[in-house]
Amino acid sequence: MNNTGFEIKISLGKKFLLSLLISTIILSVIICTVVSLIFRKRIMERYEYVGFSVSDYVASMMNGSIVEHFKEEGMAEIGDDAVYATVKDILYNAANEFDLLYMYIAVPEEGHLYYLWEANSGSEILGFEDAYSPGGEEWSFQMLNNEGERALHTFNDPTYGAVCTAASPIYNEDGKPVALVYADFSLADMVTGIINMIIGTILFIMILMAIYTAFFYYNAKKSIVDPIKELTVSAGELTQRLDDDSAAFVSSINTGDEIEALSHAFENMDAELRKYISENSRIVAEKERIGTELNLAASIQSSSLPSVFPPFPDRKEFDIYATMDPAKEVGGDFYDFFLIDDDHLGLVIADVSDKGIPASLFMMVSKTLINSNTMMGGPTNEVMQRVNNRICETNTNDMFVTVWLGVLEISTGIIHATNAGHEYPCIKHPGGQFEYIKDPHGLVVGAMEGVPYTEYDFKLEHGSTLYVYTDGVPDATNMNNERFGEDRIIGALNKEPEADVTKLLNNMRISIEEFVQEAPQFDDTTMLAIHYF
Amino acid sequence: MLDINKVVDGDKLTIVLNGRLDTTTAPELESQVNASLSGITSLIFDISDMEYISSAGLRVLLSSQKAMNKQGSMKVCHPTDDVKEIFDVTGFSDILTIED
Repeated sequence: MNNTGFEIKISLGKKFLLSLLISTIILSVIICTVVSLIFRKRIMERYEYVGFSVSDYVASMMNGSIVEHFKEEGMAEIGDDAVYATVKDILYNAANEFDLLYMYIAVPEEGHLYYLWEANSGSEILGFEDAYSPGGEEWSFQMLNNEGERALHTFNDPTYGAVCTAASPIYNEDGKPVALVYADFSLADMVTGIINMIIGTILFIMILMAIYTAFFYYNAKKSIVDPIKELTVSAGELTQRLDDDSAAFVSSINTGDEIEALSHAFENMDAELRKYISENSRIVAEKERIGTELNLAASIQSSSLPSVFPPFPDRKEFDIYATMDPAKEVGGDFYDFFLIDDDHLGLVIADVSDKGIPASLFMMVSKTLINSNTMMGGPTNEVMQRVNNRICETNTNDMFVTVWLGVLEISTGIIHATNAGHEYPCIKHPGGQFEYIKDPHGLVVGAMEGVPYTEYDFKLEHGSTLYVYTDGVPDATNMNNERFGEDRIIGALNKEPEADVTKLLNNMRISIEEFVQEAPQFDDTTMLAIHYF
Repeated sequence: MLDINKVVDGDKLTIVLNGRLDTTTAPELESQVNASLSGITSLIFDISDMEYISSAGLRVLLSSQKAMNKQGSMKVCHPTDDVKEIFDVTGFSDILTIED
């Protein structure tokens, strides 16, 4: 159970045990091999010493001429010869004394060995010819002639297994070697000894390793496996514990090593996470608060614009429609229309020189000032001047607003208007096409106190339509960085110049959307259209 | 995108603009201008390669003009026809010193 979703395939403890087992086996093999080799070398050295000592001693007691004599006489002539029996006894005693397998005197001849005496046989052995053991012939002649290094000859006997042989020459009176005294040892004892030694060694190592393993495993479990398990469980539960400030991770590991360092790092991480999370929740809450306020602001802003259409259901002289799409939650564009008296309708479209909250605040102030000053009456250029002066008094951020203000005399269709840095209006006369009114432009409102504005007027014939907009329309930009532009505005309006005002604005919106495709837009888009029946 | 290159010659600062001066690039220009105006008596905007200016850009020019009114003079040089029309439409032609 570690909460990480990861299934432990082999635990650290098992890994330790496994590696200890493998190293025990390797260690045992190495130790046994080395010890066996040393053991064998020592034994062979000892056999060599004892073997040659025995054969030398026996050979020194032998007279070469006697050996030659018995070889010449052959078995038939010996009978119960006392000298032959004496030699046999010497061999027998030596073999018994030194625990030899065989002790015999023989003459190495080509292809076979010619026996003269054998410790355990009677005179019947005399003249027996036996085959050499493998390599035995060459070695026998080397020993006989005292050639090469003196070394034991080792071979496998079918009955006695591994056997090693020492041999010493017997010389005649002329100093010529005539026969060899052979002393054979069985190596079976040595093999048994080595096996016993190996078993002993392995047992010893195993006991040692078992103790070592138990000790090491206990320590590893205590100082590595258990702390890691503890950390794993804590890490797994971290997300649940983070909600609870009293459940902060406190390092309880005192191993004084890297594991304890890890545990402290984990403690720090836990603390940092808590700090980060609380900071983050504060920021998220703040963001949520700002988001909520922004939505409220957007709703206040949009509800401050007349949005019920038709706005004056009992006025049959005109039809009016307007839209505003802010690029951010709140925008700096606005439109407005209001009845000043029974015969006068105020029309406003405006664009603040920025986006977002600052623009929206500036927009609300501008809208209110324009509305109240227009309601007070007077020529539109004077209204604009008053508004400009009022805004300049308090405008510390150099913001400004472009405004087109028109007052329609409903009975005659005459519009008195003033343009403060705003886009050209578009007009369609009855039965005609939309075209720009290249009206006189004054400075944007809020830029400089005391600037004068110009009023101009034009007439809406019955069946005329007026279209005003903000720069979000001509400045709508597509993926190729092309502007929608003034010509496309006229083109879009003249697709259906006779459409009612709602349809007219929808057509424009569709044309803009088709033009910009997926390209993001950075400007508010606001439009207003009025049809004079 | 907008490239802003500033050349200072004594108390004369020339700012060469290349690209679009709009909502996204205006704040950068505004902070660069504000940081460079101390001790300047002649500010020149060379806008021959500025293809577009939005209302946010106009605001930077307006605040620069107001700042320079107190300490010297400001000129806007070589506007393209499109930009010049924007100056005309917004009335900025009346308050800025524009040189062709």
